[in-house]
Amino acid sequence: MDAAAHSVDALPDVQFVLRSRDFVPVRPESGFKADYVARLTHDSLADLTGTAHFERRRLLSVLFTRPRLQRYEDQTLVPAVTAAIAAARRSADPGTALTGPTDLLVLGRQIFLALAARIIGLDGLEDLDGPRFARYNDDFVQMERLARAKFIDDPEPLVEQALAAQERWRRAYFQPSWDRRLHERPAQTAAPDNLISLIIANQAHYGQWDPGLAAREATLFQNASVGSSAGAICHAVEDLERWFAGRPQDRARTADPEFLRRALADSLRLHANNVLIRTALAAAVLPSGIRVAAGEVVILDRRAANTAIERASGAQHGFDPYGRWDDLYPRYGLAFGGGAHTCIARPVVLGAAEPGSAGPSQRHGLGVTTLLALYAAGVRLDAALPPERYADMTRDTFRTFPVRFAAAPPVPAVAS
Amino acid sequence: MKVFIDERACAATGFCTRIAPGVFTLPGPDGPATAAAPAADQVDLVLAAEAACPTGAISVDDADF
Repeated sequence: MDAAAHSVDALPDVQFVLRSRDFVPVRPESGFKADYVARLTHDSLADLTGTAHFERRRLLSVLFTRPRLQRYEDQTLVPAVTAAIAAARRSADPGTALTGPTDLLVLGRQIFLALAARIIGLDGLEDLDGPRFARYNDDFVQMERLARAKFIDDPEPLVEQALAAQERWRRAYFQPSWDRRLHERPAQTAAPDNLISLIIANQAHYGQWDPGLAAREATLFQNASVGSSAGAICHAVEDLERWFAGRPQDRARTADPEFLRRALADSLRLHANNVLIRTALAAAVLPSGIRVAAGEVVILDRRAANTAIERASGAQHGFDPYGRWDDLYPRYGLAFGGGAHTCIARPVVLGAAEPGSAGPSQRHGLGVTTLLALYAAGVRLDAALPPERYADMTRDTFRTFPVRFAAAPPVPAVAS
Repeated sequence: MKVFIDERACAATGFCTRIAPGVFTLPGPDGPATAAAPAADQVDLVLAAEAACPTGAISVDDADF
């Protein structure tokens, strides 16, 4: 049975809850199908509160230092984006201006799964076109579908499929990688550069939980990042293409990282899909005056909070790469949550302007890096195949997102 | 080394003050945190705090190090 709940959609209220220590991620006993998702990822970073959360997050932050982020981007993300787009462009018929349709959702998932595998430390997934990667992708899709559980009446079949896929994934990918890294541990002297090695090196912390936690933490790293990142790229392309329809001169700015950074941030603000649910540990009064009793639940509508400007003005679609946003909040709004539970992958997605670093390898984050590569390859919506959205979800989540690329230029003939 | 705090982003989680208490201070429960100039032996702690800050409110210019 679900606990008494308050729907909260005012930006100050949502921000207040996310920053308050009196609200914690929804407890399974609070209902709202929280127990379904927890069966895949319980006791992972997203579940913890207080000192345990601080200790876990401090440990994991070793994986998100600036040098690490730079390496993920240079050594994994850029090659994955390049390979995925090249594969799509090879489908072009000779003499045609555009490639055949490619599902950008699938392409994005492939790219970001490769990145997730690198950060987790899963072996043997470098070949994005190989059968091993395809099976990895299939299992991930089964696990990720659990995110839809809260939107349907009977999620039990989804849960069973997700648990079965998680077990296949654990046996085929996680466990062999774990065993290899455990065996090599005595030779390791450097700081861990992947999740598996980090967990092995920090058993004083992780050993407080059951041995299955390592795989559940890795599941969280995949499930919370890959689909949302792929969806964010699709939303950004759709927003940009609508924008270019009215301002075609701006298409030339798709090679400008700063323009794309602002565009991505505004798109993230508009399409923060999932509601966040928090359980109150103590009675609280929100800035708008809503009174919440201990044990009650608040349902945070981030998208409504993020679109307060549009709602106030009656605008239907507020995407504007040049637009101003409330100075009190980040430009991407609450897309990554807020407070101590802000998504740990935020810097991976967004990159940052970094004092003291410059040059061609300066980090843009996976969002801008991917958009730069897509537009350099001439990405366009497919006029004959519009994007499809899920009908059984209350938010605009894509089922497919067909695009076409400019056909690759012919390889110049080599003079003999 | 220069340490910057984005006051808009700081959510007063207290991560920085727990990791590098000699550098970061939270003047009140709502923040924002403030940072003193770190000594040479505090550089690693400041970089750890930068990476661990959940809201990304800390940025460090370590070009001279």
